[in-house]
Amino acid sequence: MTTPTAYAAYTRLEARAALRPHHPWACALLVVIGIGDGLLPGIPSIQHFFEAVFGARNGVHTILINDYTGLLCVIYWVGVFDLLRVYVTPAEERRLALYLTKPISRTRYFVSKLAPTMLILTLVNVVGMLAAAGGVLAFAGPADFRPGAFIATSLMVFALAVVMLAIANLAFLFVRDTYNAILVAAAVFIAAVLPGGMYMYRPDLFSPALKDLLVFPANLLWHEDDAPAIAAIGVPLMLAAAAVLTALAAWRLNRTDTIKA
Amino acid sequence: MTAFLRQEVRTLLRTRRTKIIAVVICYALLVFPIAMKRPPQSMVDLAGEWFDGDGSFTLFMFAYLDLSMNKVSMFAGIILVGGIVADERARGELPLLWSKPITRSRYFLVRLTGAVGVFAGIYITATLIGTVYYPSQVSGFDPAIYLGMATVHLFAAGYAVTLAGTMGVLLGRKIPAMLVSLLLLGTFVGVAFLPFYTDSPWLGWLNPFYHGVSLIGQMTTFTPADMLAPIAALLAFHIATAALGAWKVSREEQ
Repeated sequence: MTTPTAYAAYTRLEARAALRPHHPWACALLVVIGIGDGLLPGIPSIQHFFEAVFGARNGVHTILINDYTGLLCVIYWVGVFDLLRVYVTPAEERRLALYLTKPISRTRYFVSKLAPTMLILTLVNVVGMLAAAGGVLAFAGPADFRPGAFIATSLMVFALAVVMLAIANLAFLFVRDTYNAILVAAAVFIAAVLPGGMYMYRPDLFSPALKDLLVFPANLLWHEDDAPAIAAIGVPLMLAAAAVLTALAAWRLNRTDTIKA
Repeated sequence: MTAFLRQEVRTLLRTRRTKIIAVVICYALLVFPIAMKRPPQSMVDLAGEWFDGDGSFTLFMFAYLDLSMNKVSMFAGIILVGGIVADERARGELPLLWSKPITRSRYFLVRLTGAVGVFAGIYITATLIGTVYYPSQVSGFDPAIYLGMATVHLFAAGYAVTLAGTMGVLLGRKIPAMLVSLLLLGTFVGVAFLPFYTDSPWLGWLNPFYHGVSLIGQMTTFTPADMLAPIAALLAFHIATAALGAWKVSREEQ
C-alpha cells in the first residue's frame, strides 16, 4: 500500500520533471523582448503609431504595451506546452492508463503536475517583469515610469494568462492529440488578443466600456492611475476563476474512462 | 515514391485539423472586409507613409497579410507537421519505420513536401476566393496587385510548415519543437514589417516573413519580375531549412 512517503517521492519527481529546458530559454526570450521593446520609442514612426492608435501618452507606454503583449504570449504559450504534459501527451502516447493504474488518486496526479508548473510560470513571469522594468529604465528613464502601476498591471497580465491557461487545460481533457489541443489553445489565445487587433482598424465598433474591457493591453495603460485598485480586485477574481476551472478539470479527469481512451 | 507522397497528402486532407485550418483560413478571408470597412484615418495615413500606394487599399493589404495570413500560417505550420519522426519515436515505431526500404531523409522530405503541398492548396484556394470576392467588398481593390502579393506571400506562409517540420526532427521531441517553432515564427511575424517602420531593409534580410511582405513597399509599381527576388530568397530559406532537417534525420540513431 502507498504511504505518505511514496506520495512525497512522487510529488518530488513531478516537481523535478516540471522544470524543462525551454523555461530558461523563455526567460532569455523575455529579456530580449525587454531590451528590444526598449528601443521602440526611439523609432519616430512607431512611437507615432502607438500614440495615434492606442493612445500611448509617452515612450514608456509604447514600451509597456509591447512588453505586456510579449509577457502574455510567452507565459501563455510556454504554459500551454507545459499543460500538454498533464493529459494530452500521456493519452496520445498511451501512457496515461499506465500512470493512473498506480495507487495515486487522479486528483493527486493532477495537482502534482499543475502546482510545480504554476510555480515555474510565476518565476518566468517575475523574470519577464524585471526585464520589462529594466528595459524601460535603461532606455526611457525613470521620469514616466510608475513602479506601482507597473507591478499591478503586470500581475493583471499574469492573472489573465493563468485564466486562459485554465480554460485551455479544461478543454484539453476533451481532445485526443497534441495537434487538436494546439488548435484549442490557439482559439483561446486569439479570443483574448483579437479585440486589440480589431481596435486598430475599427475603433468605431467599440463602445467606451467595451474598449476599456477588451482592448488588451492598451486598456491597462489608459487607466494607469487606477491600476493598483483594478488589480486588487481583478487579480484575485481571475485567480479564483482559474481555480474553479481547474477544479472542474480535476472533476472531469476523475470521470474520464482512461482505460478505454 | 509518388505513391507515398499521394498517400501522405490524402491522409493529411482527411484529418480533422487540416479541415479546421482550411475553414479558419476561409472564414478569416470572408469576414475580413467587415473588419476593414471603416478604418480610422490615422491608420490609413500611417499605411500610406510606411508603404506605397494611396493608403486605403495599402492598409487593406497590410492588415490582410499581417493580421490574417501571417498569423494563421504560423499556427497552421506547427499543427500540420510539428511531429514528423517525433510522433513515430514517441509511439516506439521508429525501428519498424527505418527497416522499410526508404532512406530517412527521403521519408522526412516526402512527408514535409506533402504538408507544404496541402497547405499551399488551402492557401491558393483561399486566395482565389479572395480574388473573386474582394472586388465587390473592398474599395480600390486591384486583383492583379492582390494576386501578385499573395503569390509571393505563399512562399513565406509555407515556410512556417518547413520550419515546423524541420524543428521537429532537429529537437527530436514534439512538445519542445512545437513551442520553439511557435516562438520563433511569432518573432519573425512580429518583426516582419519592422524594416518599413525603421526604413532599414537590412533588418528583414534574415526574416522570411519580411521577404513575404516586402512587395508592399512598391505596391503600385511592381512588375512580375519584381516578384522573383523575394521568391528566390524564400526558396533559399525553404531549401536550406529542409536540407538541415534531412541531414539531421539521416544521422538519427535507431
